[in-house]
Amino acid sequence: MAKSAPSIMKCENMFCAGCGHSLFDRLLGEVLTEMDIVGESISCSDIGCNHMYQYSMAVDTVVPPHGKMGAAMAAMKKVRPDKYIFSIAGDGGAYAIGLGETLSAATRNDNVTFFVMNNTVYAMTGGQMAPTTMPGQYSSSSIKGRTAEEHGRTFDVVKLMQNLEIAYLARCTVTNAAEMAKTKRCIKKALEKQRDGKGFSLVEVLVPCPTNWGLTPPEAMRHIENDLVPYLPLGEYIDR
Amino acid sequence: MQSETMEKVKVNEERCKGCYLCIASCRKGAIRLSGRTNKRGIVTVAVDQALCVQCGVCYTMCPDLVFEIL
Ligand SMILES: Cc1ncc(C[n+]2csc(CCOP(=O)(O)OP(=O)(O)O)c2C)c(N)n1
Ligand code: SF4
Repeated sequence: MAKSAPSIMKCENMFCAGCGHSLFDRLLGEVLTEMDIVGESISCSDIGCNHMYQYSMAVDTVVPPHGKMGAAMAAMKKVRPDKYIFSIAGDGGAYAIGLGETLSAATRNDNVTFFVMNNTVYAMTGGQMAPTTMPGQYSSSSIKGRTAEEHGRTFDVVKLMQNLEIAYLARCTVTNAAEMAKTKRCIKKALEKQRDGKGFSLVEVLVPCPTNWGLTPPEAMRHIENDLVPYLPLGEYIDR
Repeated sequence: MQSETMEKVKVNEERCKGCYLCIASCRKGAIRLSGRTNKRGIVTVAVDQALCVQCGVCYTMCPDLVFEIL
């Protein structure tokens, strides 16, 4: 079957080789194109490597301060209820600096869609440890590896959200073609919840950051499969 | 019927950043290093059109939109 880049991907992206952000962005571009809602969408960008989608993807974008997407999306939806409002964010922004805003949007069940790229580090600033950093993981600020005693336990926000009254919650990844297909279905479902007025949806995507993990891109994919997925299980957790 | 040598996948070598996820993903072993270097200084990839079955895995796994399945 013929396959080519959706026209919304207007130019080459700025991500490192093998970066998972760019794999997600293309999937989102495909879904927006297939649902024919490119012109009906306003994205809300976090700060971080993830924000570079706005340079290669032709979609209207608002950039609030780092981590404040939950609050910004609520405001955007109030002003433009006719538009699809979604956010592309990093784990550092959505689950650390912006955790309050993210959870507030979820507890209000705002009719918006949150895509969180979890690469277990603050990538753009040099790969520092985040609340999502894995047990034992080396980072530029946990050079002997993360320990629960010294740094606290790895924070699993998807688990935390499972009892909330929200429309959709899923965790997926981009490690192979089968997982990419599942991720694409989750993206579509999350946007459909917003279309149907069902409320808040969050899709967490486990994405590789080969640069800060110090791995080749294929090794980074295997690291997700072998070390992240057993700890952060994939699946759809809420589907109302 | 498609001939073994017809072009099945177009490769935009200038976009390649050298992650080689395509080589790791192609189950037919149809993708290898081309031996050519693009403007970024990256050794690019080439598709053996005879081995290719147009499954589209390279398109799916390429973060840089190098491949077009024809
Ligand atoms: C209020 C504020 N605090 C800190 C920063 C510095 N900063 C910029 S990007 C970034 C890390 C982002 O990490 P993450 O959200 O995980 O995204 P990634 O880079 O991994 O995609 C930080 C801390 C900032 N820009 N604004
Ligand atoms: S540093 Fe990591 S997250 Fe940032 S562009 Fe490079 S691979 Fe992607």
